[in-house]
Parts: sequence; C-alpha cells; structure tokens
Amino acid sequence: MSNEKQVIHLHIPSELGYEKVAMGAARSVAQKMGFSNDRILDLQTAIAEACTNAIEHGNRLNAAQRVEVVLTVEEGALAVDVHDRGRDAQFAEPQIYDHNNHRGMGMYIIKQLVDEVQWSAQPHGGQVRMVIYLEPDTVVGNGSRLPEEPRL
Amino acid sequence: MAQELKVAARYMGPVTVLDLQGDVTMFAESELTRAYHQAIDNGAQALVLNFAGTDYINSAGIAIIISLLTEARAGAITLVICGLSAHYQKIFRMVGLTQYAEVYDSEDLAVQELKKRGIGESAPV
Amino acid sequence: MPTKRQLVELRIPSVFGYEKVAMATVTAVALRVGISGERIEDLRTAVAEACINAIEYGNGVGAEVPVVVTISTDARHLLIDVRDRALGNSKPQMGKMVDLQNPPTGPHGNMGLFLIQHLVDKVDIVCRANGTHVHMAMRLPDIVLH
Repeated sequence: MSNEKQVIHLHIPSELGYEKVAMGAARSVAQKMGFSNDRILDLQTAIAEACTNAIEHGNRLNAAQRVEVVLTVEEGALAVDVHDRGRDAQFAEPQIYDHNNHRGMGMYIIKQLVDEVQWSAQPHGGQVRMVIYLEPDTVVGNGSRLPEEPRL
Repeated sequence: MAQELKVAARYMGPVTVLDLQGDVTMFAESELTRAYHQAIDNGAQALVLNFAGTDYINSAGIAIIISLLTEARAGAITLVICGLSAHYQKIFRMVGLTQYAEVYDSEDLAVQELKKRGIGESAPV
Repeated sequence: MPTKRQLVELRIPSVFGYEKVAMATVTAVALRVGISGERIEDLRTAVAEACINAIEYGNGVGAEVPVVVTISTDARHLLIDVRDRALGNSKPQMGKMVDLQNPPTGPHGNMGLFLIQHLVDKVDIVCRANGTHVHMAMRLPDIVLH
C-alpha cells in the first residue's frame, strides 16, 4: 500500500441499528489492511459504541441527522472518526467501569479496545477519534465475545 | 492485503488440483497464471480449479479464468471447476463460462469424472 | 405519495479493492431492510461490478477522486446509485456471454454491466456532465418494516 492516505466516508442516519453498517464497512477496510480477526472484532465493537453514542446522545435519535464515520487508512494504522451534530458535546473520559452510566460504559469499552482514543467537541458537534495499529506491541482488548458481523 | 489470492497445487498423477485461497480479481492474475503454467510444466494433463477457499470473484477475475480456459483448449488440457458457491455457479452459468468448463460441486466429483474419462491415476494417454 | 428516503452515503477512493467496502456496506443495509439469502449475494456482486467499473473507467484509477455510493429506499425497492466522475460522453456498452471462438478483446467492464443487468431488478445508466450514474434497484420483500 502506498504512503498516501486513503479515506472512506460513510454517512448513516441517526437510527439505532445503523451502527451495523459502519461495523460492516470498517471490517472490510480492516481486512483489506491485514488486521487479525480479533483486532477487527475489537474495532467493530468500539465503532458500534461510538456510533450508538452519536446516534442516541449526539443526534438524539433524530433520523434526519447524519452520523459521519470517516475511516483513514494510514501506513500501519487505521483511524476512525465518528462525528455527530450534538451541541452539548462535553465528554468526561471515564476511567472506571460504571454500570449505572450507560454512555460512560460505552466510552470505557472503546478505551479498552483501541490503541488511541480521543473525544473532542468540535464547532459542528461531537467527535471521537479511534486508532488501531497494524502491529501493536501489546495485545489490547479481548476479541472473544463480540457481536456478529452484518453478513450472512 | 489479506485477501490476495494464493494458489497451492496438489499433484495427483496427471491431474493437478489448484486450490484457490482468497479473492479472484484483477490482483489474482500473476498468481493464477504462475500456478497454471507450473502445473503444465510439471506434466499435468488435467487441472481442477478448486474455488472452495474463495468468496469473492469479479468480472476481472472471470476474465482471467477465461484466458486460462482459452490457453488450456489450445494446449488440449482439460480444465474443470469445483468448489464454487451456489451464487458463483450461477454467475459462471450467466456469463457462459459453463459452456467451456465443467463445474462440479466438489473436488471428489471432479476427480472421479476425470478418472472416468481416463485421465487420472495411471494415465493411459 | 411514498417518497424516496436516503439512508446511507459512502465515498470510497478510486482504488481497486475498495469495492469490497461498498459490498459490505450495502450488505448491512440490505439485511436491515429485509433482503436476504441469494438476493443479497446478487446485490453484492452487482455493487462490486458497478464499483470496479466506476473505479476503472470513471476515474482512471485516481485515488483522490471518490466513487460515491448512495443507498436509499422507495416504497418498494432498495435503491443503489454508484456515481463516478467520468466525463459522460461514452455510455458503457453492455457485454455479452463468453464466446471462446471470439474471445472478448475489450475490457472486462462490459461483462460487469452484463452481470449487473441479470442480477438486480432494475438498472439504469445515466451519463451526466458531472459523471456516470449506475442506478440499481432491488425489490423489497413484501412484508417489511423500515
């Protein structure tokens, strides 16, 4: 693969269930890059959490609002940005698992599964950037029990 | 890329089975023609292309298969196909490939049929 | 009147191999709207062919120019539109069945269109100044909630 970054843009409606479309797209990109199945499952789960957060909390289930998922294929890494249109994008990065905090749990899961994650409030809404490395020095996450991929 | 085609050859007397693993697209051309010619150079009289390890074939890949078929016919080599999913069996029929290469559900059926025709095991040709 | 509803838009680089991202994306949407089994396989192959045509002819294999895949529904169909930036002077020709006596000399894209036509319920190719659109429609199952 060349050094040049290749970018895939995906827009999905803010309707629960469409996170699976993002998961499917991300799987195919990660497979193409040569990620192991365990890492792909980690990434898919992280994307599912980021997208459902964006759908529910960012865009408040307004189906007319889009969630934008940008996959950037870099040398040795895959970066995934999930953007919503939420106005109240204030994130406290959760450090511990709190089963009473639904949204926080999603963020906690993401943190465990990807190599880099950053939440930020942009002028147009909230954004989370997740990165996984092609050959991580340490194995992050646990790909053993994760949702089915959206295939047959 | 993870899905780049790999072809492994299994020699069974004059019959060679080529196991295709990965995507059969334009990227498969050099690997497929390499494996084909290697099998012919090793004396294969019949080839079984086994697609059991592939779940993506596109028109560029079909074009490669067509060129192999053309070459096989010119050289009086029998080329048959097995291991295609029901979907890709349909696609091969649709584009007319099945007029030129027989398609079997399994490798066993393909090899059996070649034996019946006298190719395989102790080849009398 | 039932209106067209856009569900998903995908932009992929014009690089061979990225058609698989379109296949995966369309598959996930098709499953959501109730299309299943062999119909999904048909749709995947048709989308792959439309995308590789767009990548190959439309954009002359320039990674910086995207192929745009739009997925929508109307009352009866899942609609897939694959758009490239080909200068729309030459409408692609539909291919024919393979004939080894007269082997195809042209590019294989013609075979791609031939396949698309046989795999989806409707296909329409529109050449516009800003690019070529391949519109494909797949009927939705009779009972579907979406």
